[in-house]
Amino acid sequence: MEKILLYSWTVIFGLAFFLALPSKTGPASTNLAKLGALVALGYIFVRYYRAWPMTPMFMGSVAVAPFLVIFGLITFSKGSLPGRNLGRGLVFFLAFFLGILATVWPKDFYLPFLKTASIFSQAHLAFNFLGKAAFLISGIWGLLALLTKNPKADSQIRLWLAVGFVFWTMSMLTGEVWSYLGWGLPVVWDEAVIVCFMATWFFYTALLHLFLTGRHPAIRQILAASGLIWIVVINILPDLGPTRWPPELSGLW
Amino acid sequence: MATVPGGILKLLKKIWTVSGHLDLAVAICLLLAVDAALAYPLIQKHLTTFIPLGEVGLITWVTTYGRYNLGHTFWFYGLMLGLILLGINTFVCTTNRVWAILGPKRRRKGWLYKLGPHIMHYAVLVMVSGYLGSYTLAQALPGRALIPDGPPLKLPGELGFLSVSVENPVVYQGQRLPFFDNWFLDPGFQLTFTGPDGRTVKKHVAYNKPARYRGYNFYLSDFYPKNSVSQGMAGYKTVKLSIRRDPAAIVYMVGILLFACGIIVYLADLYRKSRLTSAKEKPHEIS
Repeated sequence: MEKILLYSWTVIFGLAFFLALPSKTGPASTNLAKLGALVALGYIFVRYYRAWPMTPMFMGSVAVAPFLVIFGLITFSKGSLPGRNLGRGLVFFLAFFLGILATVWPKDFYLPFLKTASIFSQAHLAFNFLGKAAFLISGIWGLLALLTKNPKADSQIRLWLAVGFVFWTMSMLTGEVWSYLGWGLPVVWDEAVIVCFMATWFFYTALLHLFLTGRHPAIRQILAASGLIWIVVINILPDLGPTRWPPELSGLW
Repeated sequence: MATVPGGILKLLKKIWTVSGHLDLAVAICLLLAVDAALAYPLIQKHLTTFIPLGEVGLITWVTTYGRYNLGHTFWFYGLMLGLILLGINTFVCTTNRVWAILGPKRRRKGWLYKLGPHIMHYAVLVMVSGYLGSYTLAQALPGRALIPDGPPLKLPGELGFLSVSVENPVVYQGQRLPFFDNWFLDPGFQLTFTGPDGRTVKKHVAYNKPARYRGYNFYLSDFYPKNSVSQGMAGYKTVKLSIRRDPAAIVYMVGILLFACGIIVYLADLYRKSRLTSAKEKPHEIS
């Protein structure tokens, strides 16, 4: 069931992206992306349903796609800022790219462990993928700011940076409470990925301060755009598993 | 009373200004980001060097594991240094801004709303101090393994004796993950503490639900058997506990709460500003 949903939302986001390739993004691509987001939310629901009351493992990357599309449709649907269509196309491409990563390098075979049966573990994961989605949107706005030279893009970068930062910080704080209740430590060094969390928090703390104070406009736009690469390399690649190509079709039905 | 020479005062003022500069904060944060990102492959490859950090404490770890494995622990020293510099910078910068809001004759209407970001900054300082305190002051007793309904264990000092019994375990009943069928979600362990005066205290312990007794926290680390049907190897039953006393835990918990308060004040300020803006725009709409 999960695999059908995973492959479906990947294909749907791929189609939405290809339909968005012409400069005028028609309603078809947007509607397809909405459908893809619904299917991807269904995929997340199934993963949670199976794991409940424990937390599903390695969802931090695959669960980003639908929230990225929802945020993308919110921020790129209204107004007349140049580059909105391009922004929407980039959102669909990123969602498609995340689906390809989850299909070819899946890490969905890990069972959850008993200590993840905690509201703080659930909140830590949920805030994590919401934060990643918001940071990717701020990165797309950063890229658009560089390409279109529109100064108004700055306010959108700042908004999504702040949203992402709040989610990311909440993810870290709930993770710390979970760590304290489960292990008695604020930081557990059993998983290397803990430093990736810290690295991203420091990166966006620097960026947010640059934006909130209006300093160094050129540097901050370049940094905002490079956030796209940062999130993919530092926070998404570590969540990938071994190569599975061609995609596993057995047990689909 | 001796007075401070003007030159020294100027120098101190200059140091204060430079150490609280915002560009310095941005530079330190970016360096810390790179440092932490570099650490990922190093921890991944040498995980066993870093796991004891929580057990032996910061000072022991730095002088043993850290010192003799500098090839893959150097980044940790960079992280410590960066955090100290960022702490100083945050304190100076935030204090300057708070003084500008709360200083004599400077309070304006809505001053409380302006404190949101500064509360968050101070909260980060409180949290980092708490972590530092936790890694330096926490006392971890060696891991304990007990047998349910078995002989009591002598605890150090005034803690007395500890025994474990099982009451009302909760079993996974979903059949959504066949692997977990009949597994204990909560094995229902009751810890019975018998003090030196003979008084007994009962506490429940489970994953993520530590038992607290006389300043010590008792965490469930592991237990066997995991399954209510199989009795494990020859019916062998055991409960593994980790016992910690962490006087600094309250500090970082207060920091977390303070940060949450800061976010609430900041969001309230945003809401207030949006209402003020819409109130200003209304007459234009009517005309």
